[in-house]
Amino acid sequence: MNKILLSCLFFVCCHDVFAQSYTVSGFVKENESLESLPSAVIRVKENNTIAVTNNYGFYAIQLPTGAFTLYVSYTGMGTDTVSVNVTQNIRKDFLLAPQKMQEVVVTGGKEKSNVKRTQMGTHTIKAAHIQDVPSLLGEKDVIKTLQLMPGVQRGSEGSTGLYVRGGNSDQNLIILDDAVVYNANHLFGFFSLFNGNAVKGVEFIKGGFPARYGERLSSVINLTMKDGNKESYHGEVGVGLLSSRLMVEGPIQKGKSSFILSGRRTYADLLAQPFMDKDKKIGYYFYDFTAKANAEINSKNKIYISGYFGKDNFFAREDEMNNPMKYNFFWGNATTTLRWNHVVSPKIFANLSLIFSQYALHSKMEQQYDTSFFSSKYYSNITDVGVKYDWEFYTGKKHLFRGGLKATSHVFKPNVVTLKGSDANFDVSEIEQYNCPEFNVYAEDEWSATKALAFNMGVRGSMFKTQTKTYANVEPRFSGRFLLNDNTSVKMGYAVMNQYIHLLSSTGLGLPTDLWVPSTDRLRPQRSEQYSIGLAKVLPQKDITISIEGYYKKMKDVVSYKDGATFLTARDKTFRGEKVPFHENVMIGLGKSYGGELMLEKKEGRLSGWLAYTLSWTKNSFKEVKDGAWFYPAYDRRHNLSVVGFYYLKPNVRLNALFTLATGNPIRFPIHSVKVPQIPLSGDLSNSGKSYSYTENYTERGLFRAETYHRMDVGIQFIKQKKWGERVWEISVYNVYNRQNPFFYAAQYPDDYNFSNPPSRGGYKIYKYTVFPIIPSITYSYKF
Amino acid sequence: MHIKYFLLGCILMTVFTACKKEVKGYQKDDKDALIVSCFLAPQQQQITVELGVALSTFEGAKEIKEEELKDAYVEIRSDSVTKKVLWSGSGNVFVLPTAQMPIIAGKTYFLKVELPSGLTATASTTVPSAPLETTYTHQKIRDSSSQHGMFVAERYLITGNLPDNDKNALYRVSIYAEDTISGGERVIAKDLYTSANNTYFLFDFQHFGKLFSEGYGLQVSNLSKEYYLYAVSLENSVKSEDNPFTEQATLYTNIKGGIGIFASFNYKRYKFDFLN
Repeated sequence: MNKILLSCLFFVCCHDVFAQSYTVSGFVKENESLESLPSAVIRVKENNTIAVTNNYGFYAIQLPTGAFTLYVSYTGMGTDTVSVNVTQNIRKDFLLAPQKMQEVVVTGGKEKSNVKRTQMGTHTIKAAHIQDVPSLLGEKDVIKTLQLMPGVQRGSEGSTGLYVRGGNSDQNLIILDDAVVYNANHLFGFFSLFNGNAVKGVEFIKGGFPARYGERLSSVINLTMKDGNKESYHGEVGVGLLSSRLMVEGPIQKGKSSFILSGRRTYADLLAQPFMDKDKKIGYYFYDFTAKANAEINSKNKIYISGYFGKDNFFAREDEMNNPMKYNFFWGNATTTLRWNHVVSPKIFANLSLIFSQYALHSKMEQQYDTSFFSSKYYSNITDVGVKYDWEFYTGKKHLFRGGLKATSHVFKPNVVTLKGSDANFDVSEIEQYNCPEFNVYAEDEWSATKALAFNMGVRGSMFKTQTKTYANVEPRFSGRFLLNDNTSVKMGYAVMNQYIHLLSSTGLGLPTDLWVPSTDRLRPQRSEQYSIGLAKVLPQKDITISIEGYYKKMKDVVSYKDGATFLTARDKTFRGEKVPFHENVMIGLGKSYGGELMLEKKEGRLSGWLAYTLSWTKNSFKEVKDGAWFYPAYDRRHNLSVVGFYYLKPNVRLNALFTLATGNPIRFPIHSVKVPQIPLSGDLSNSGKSYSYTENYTERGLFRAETYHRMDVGIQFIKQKKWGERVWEISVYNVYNRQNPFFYAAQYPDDYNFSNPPSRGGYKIYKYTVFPIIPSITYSYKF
Repeated sequence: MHIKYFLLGCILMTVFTACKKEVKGYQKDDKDALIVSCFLAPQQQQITVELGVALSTFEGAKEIKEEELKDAYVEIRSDSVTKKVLWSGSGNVFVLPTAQMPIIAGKTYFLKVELPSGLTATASTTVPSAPLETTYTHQKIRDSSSQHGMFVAERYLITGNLPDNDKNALYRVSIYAEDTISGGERVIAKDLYTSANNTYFLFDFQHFGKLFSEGYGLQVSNLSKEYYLYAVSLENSVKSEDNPFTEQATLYTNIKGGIGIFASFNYKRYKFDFLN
């Protein structure tokens, strides 16, 4: 079957290679900074052919001999129109100017790429939109912007948890300039790593995955960092309630190479220092730092080096009675990517990436008491070193062929424990380590069969070696589009995905203690199969795009901690005298999700924004839970609505608002205090001296749901052109009508509970904990 | 200056307005539950059934009165034979001598409990066969005197392999000490619950000689599925209590109309001669 698929792909490509035509190719860039523009649309007036730039701003169109007019457009930018006389291969770069508000006009029918592209379930978000969405404490957040897309369920209140089409939070592949980012959270999940300052754009794919993407079941979040201004030096300073940020960019060699540096740090720990006892210090901060440089060696070769470094640190120091104690709990990501873009020929674009990515969690405690001491260190990390080679072959008018391979060496250290004490007998060191190479190879063809009918067909092969097993899988991908008319298309998609690494999370909050672990001999890779169907429509006069999609996804071998297991028990060494591998604490099961999504989007004009609605059902089944009966997991929500709007009151005053509403997620409560006899060896319960176990019995999963979640945030931006740049004051209010959304529920004794004279039974009450009431914030930023 | 106060106000609002609020409506169908516990084994002299009340955690729930438990009607049936299990006169334990209802491997037993208030609970279990022979070895690790020299603790490693003839078998493996006072046995090392897929076992335990017990030994029990599921869920449930980082465990039950367990097992014991 797989051989037949590959043969078909080869045939359709070769068929077109020999058709006579020339290639018009080049890059689309912003005119001021020479920043390349991915997803810009190039349309040929004469034959209505459309090409879209790749992640590096490169495009290629096959045209026969003759004169043609090319229109180039990009949301938020002006358009460019060029006439070309095609008698040979032509290199043509486009420079687009950013549009100011004063210049924005509704350009009916300009943006139709959503209707014409074959790919389904894809959203492209520009950095400007991320910067404009009102946010908690003014901290701009890429992941929280994605939570406002259809098909995405958020985690608990305020958190950056992302659950896409019924998938768990570990089923999202987050890529920053080709490097995988494993933990995208700061401050226990309340903020994401990406503040949008240095991010050029985000491509978010949740269905109809093309073969070039894989490794996770539910979504791909492909973040591209800005390249840096090649013409002049610029920067941006931002001051908020929680953190401050700085970005600088500029040319290294004018017009040829550039750099961009961006950093952010919180300062609550610094502000609190003067108020703390000299002998006791406690604090928390996070920072992130991104750096990127690129150089155009010549018109055909370009190199990039980029990196991300971020860290959260919680610390405590105490020195009472000369008995010092130090505690540090810190975690962070580091990624580095070295890339080489090579235009092999006008028809072939290639990219080679060398990738390093690491996520590490440390917990260190040192204590001294008189002459004795004790120290404990816990360490968990995942380190990837990889190489990736992708190429695009513009074989003819009808085909764009992509291929590539990726090899990654994963090293997992889920548990490294060192305990030391002044007692000579107390010196324990345990390391659990897994070395797992992973290989991926793919081939993909975008085929415009007729003017109306287009397909994206592909296949991806993946292999993962772990312990004594090697897993190998083939993943067929297909998506098709049929144009009903120039403004309407219907689409369908099918994708099989495999995932060889898993996140063990006991809380679902996105805590740093969640463990990334590999598939093992016993823990098989997760696998999903997704079917989707949809309709895309443009209302040209109103500049509104409408997208409706339905999907059905089934998953197998999804993982979860067993009841009662946590990352702490995962390193219990005493089980049968052997070290307990993490997979002993894991259960493996099934998942399924289905639903419908609606997205209305208006990208340009005085009023812009989007409306996203999702109706979905998600169910899981584990043999260990109710003997395999299906239940709704904690992130199942039936309805989810988000409305986001941006409105220019004046050219320099912008109102931003969002409203979100979602069904409450499933929750559980203890309903019974249970006292049962410990099971005697003989089974005889008549022994008067027998012992009892005391516990609480919880409601079944999915029986209760939290209250409906809803919230409205508003913001206003005052923009002013100053002598040296642009100043923006932003006043925003999170949760403007002070809705007390639940963060979690707990069954507890009330504060006035009479423990000396308790009631005959019970006494618990259910409490809802709310963390983010109405929160105004103000931020100042200056772009120069 | 004004901005400074505004910033301070924002921080204070964030910190102090995060709140806790009582919510109602979730507990409206809540009520007490009848707990039934009973474990059958062919080696037993008597069948014992213990009843209890799982108290609702909320006030105002429908109650089961503890006092009515001893007046419950309890019966055990197998094949066409039904026997009433009588209150033992102590606690909420009901007893039936196995002379009247022998426990036989392979047979299915049905339990019914009915309270005077009409609440009824039922369950069934099929008794597994006795485990085949288990092989084990012992290794003395060290002696260690107590602080005051009153007794000597000996530490042993017991390793062995469970029979693997039945791939569906579920086991409980225990190290016990005979209880000279009560006449029963006490578990002295953490039990191992395992399946035929993991037949190797290792116990690291210490004992205090005859000062505390007449004898020590190894018990290998072949468990019914419900015994195994209940025991593991009880372990998890107790372990996960008060740990915010765990998924709350659900106590397994096969009791229809209540909670608890009606299960069976079959065991072999190996007394440690090397300790005598």
